[in-house]
Amino acid sequence: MESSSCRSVHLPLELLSEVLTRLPVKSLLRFKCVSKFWVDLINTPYFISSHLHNYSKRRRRINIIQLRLQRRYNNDGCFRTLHLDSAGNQYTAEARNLTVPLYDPGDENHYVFVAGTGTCNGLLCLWLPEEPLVFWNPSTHQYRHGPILECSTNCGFGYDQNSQDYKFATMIYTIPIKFRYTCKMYSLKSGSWCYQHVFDSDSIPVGTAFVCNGAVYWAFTKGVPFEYSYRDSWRLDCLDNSLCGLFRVGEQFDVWMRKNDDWSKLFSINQSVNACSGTMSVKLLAYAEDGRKVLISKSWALHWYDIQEKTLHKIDVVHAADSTKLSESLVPL
Amino acid sequence: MARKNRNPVGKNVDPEAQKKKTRTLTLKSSDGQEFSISESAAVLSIAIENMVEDDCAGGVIPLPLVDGGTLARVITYLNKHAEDGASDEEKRKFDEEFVSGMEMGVLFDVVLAANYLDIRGLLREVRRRIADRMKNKSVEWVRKTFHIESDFTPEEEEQMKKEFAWAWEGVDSDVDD
Repeated sequence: MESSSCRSVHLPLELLSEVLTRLPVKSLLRFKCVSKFWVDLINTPYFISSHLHNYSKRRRRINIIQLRLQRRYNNDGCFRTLHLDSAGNQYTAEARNLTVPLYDPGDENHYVFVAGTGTCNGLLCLWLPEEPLVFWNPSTHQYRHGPILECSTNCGFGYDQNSQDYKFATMIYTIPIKFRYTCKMYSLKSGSWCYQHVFDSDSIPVGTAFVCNGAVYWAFTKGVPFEYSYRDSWRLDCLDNSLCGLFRVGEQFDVWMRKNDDWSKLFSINQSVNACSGTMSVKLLAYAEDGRKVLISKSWALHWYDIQEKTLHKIDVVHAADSTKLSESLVPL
Repeated sequence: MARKNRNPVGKNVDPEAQKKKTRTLTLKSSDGQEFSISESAAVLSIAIENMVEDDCAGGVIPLPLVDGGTLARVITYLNKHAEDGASDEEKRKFDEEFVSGMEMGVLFDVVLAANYLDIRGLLREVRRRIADRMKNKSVEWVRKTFHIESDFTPEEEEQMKKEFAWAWEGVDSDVDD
């Protein structure tokens, strides 16, 4: 046996960086203490983006965050991690409770509810009525608060590659003037509103907005594209950074994806299991590693939808309401 | 390991691939040990494949950055992955066992060799294994294992520890493995 353990270990920077990108955020926050060289490496934007890619993708892991937020007094969020195998058949769940960083968690009689959430690169944005916006990275526990919103419907959050900035977008309905909307954007980098546009429209925005490919997208009631009619309710969703449209036609949900300015139909889900729920109750979460299955949340449960077999498999996770996909990430706030 | 049905397909065998199986190469480690290996196994290393293609190999391929003990391990890996009829599941199991018994120093030697010889699968496996071993370890364990001296003042270290105190919860005790 050679005594390799007493030899000096010097991994080339690239190799060391590759190894470290496969560690969970918790370990990396601790290992910032190893040396000045390590803290500098772990803090570089290049390392942060490689980690985001390597840790979630290569580890075949999908993190799901579930928020339960009722009162200030009971402002806990449940952070559940699902570890999935490559085919998406098996999983183990691990739950960890985290406190949602509200602006003023003091008054226990005040009821708070989350009007909507947006996630991007491990950051979670919460919009609440009459409350400052919350930007939160649950992996690092870092958070920031934004402005109080005039209107907390039809909001969205995402990354804008053009300005390399995270943006929050909202659409405000100006009450005295019929069909007049103001769309506004908030920049996380500058910590201020950075864009405003007023326009008139005779239709109404529905659901959450999505920021992708350097643009913000809203679905409008009257702008239903393709073969669908205004009677078919629809809304936008996002799957692996691609914009999707969910259309409800009777008992069926059609999922379309937009790629390079073209829309194509991905699959249809038969909704016969629970006919009373609307489009809003189905949420696209993630692809399985082989791309043949899609993880969706529907009727308070998580399911794998097999695109070829056209079958739904329920995953037995207790209380799967309000699930959102959220990667583990070092993205700073 | 004797294996029946060495070539279950039997037909359409690429004559070039067949030749590679029978041709052997000699690899020479930094400490002068020589190892014979079939060409089909050796070329799983992109670096060796390039040397063979450029025909600069001659009779013996010198690998001055890999010691004999490490090279022997790498060759075991290459032979398994070049084996006819070994299923993906079998290879996966082999990979798992191959790295599981290695101490950290050996893992470092193998990852450096896999990096130098450009063996993607082995590199991926060992990198993942090193990360798994490190995951729940203390800062002190990492410093000792990577031979790093802290260049923080005790105050700076205390400050950083305070900032992410929760990241210190659930850390394994420092036992060598």
